[in-house]
Amino acid sequence: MSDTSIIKIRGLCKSFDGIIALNNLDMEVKKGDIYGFLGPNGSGKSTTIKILLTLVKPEIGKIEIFGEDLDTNPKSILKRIGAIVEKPGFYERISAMKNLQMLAKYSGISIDNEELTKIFNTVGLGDRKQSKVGSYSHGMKQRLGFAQAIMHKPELLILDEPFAGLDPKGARDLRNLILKLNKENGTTILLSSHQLDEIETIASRMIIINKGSSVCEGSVKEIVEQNKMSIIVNVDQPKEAYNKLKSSRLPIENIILTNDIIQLNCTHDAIPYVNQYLQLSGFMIFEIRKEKALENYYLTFT
Amino acid sequence: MKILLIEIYKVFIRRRSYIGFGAILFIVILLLLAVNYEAKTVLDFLTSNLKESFSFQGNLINGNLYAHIVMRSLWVHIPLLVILVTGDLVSGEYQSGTFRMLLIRPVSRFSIISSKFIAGWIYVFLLVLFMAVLSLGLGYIFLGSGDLLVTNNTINIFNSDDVLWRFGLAYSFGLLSMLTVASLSILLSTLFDNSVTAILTSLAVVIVLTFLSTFNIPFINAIKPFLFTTQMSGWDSFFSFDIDYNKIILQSVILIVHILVFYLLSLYIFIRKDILT
Repeated sequence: MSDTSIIKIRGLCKSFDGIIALNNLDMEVKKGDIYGFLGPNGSGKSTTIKILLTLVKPEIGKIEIFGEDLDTNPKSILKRIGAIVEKPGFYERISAMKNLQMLAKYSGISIDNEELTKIFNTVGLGDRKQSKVGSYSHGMKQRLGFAQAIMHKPELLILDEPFAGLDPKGARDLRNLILKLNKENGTTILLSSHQLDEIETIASRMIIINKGSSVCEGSVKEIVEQNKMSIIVNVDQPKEAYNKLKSSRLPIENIILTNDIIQLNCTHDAIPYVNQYLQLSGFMIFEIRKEKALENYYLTFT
Repeated sequence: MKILLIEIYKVFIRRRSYIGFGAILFIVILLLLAVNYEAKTVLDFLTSNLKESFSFQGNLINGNLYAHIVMRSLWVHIPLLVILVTGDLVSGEYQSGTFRMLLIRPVSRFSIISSKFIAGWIYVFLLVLFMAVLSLGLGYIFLGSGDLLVTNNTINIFNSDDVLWRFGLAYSFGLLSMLTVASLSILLSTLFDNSVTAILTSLAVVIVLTFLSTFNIPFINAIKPFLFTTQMSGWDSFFSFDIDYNKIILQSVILIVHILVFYLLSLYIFIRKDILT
């Protein structure tokens, strides 16, 4: 990551028929970020993404992408962006390959069939590239949406709910692909998702918006670490371990025992101490895991 | 140019684009059979008001008469076939979500809407050309050439070698009318996110304006000349001996102004439109 801003939004406002969708939104995505974009339904995430992609016109506000003003240089900016917006829409009567060829022409890029085949293979559609899109499942269309987003090797990927409709394997593959693009190509990624686990796993920075305004922005790690999270502990003698932890001086709270599973709240930094304390006390630890830290945090804001 | 080629391709990958050609083919063949096998009835029908004053001799049932009958029969219906395709050109992309893919590309909305208009116009041109070639071609092949009998309030009989240029100009004028209808439906297609709404509204507008143009309603008469539907029947002027070219030029100008206004309005709407679907 660097300090160079890839997306810089200041004072963005938009309303539809008098209903405020965005209210003075500020946000900043830095080069190399995987930037989680969170918020409940109707919070303004999709509107923000559509404004960034020139699908929707803002009322007030300034947007700079790659240091250029979006309002005055949309073409040169869009050339460097790949995106999935909501459910990808394709021409169903023609093949997936033909769809991508058409979109490539629209983008003014020349890409040969060999390169396109590689992209199809990357997203797991290699054997179905000549099938009509009408015969695709929702998950396959989502993969195809990802293929069209990356085919011109964009510097910035804007992904609106990319995991929606994917099966667990598909979601894992996509997650790995996002990480790979970020790591190997340095692609900056703006990722909107309701799947908080995914954001927590792959995002470096994040924003939570609600009612069109930012309520929290920063490093995912810091946000998670600064907030006490729920920890699940599974040991060989749960009752004894529970009593031991309860009487300890460890920085833990709200310890409970349910169905032989210990649950407690502590900071991220305290987890190794809990682990060490139990080990030194002679307990056999089967599992210590965090439980949806970001989700708990998210719910306090929305 | 690339975008235009893609837009033309997109028009012709849709099944509905062939409904118009299919319908014309069906009606043209049906009329050919009717004219071929019911020649006397057809002639009686055409000359029913004139038989008391005139006697007709020679081969009046020929390819030219047949092609003229086809024109008269189909001009009323062609707008419906045109709207079926052009009314969906823009709204179909809102509805299917494909604009979410296209409009995030480095391509201007001006290019997209202009390409859609040109693709729509090319479709209309091919549809009208198909009708012209088919009716004249089948007419000459199966019924042969001959003098053309045209009956309006008067009776005109044109020599067989004085007919083809009239068909050419009549079809050209008819094409201009259909381009106006197509432009209107593309405008409405730009306005509505739903194809069915766009197509039905286009049909409703054409039907209502045709009604206003046809019936004598005193307070409408002042605006009648400015309605494109009033001018659409101008193609018939070419089948008279005294062609009023000034009137035809004025009619053409009115239609061209309509096309330009519809195009510019579409451009204005499309460039400012938020893509929410």
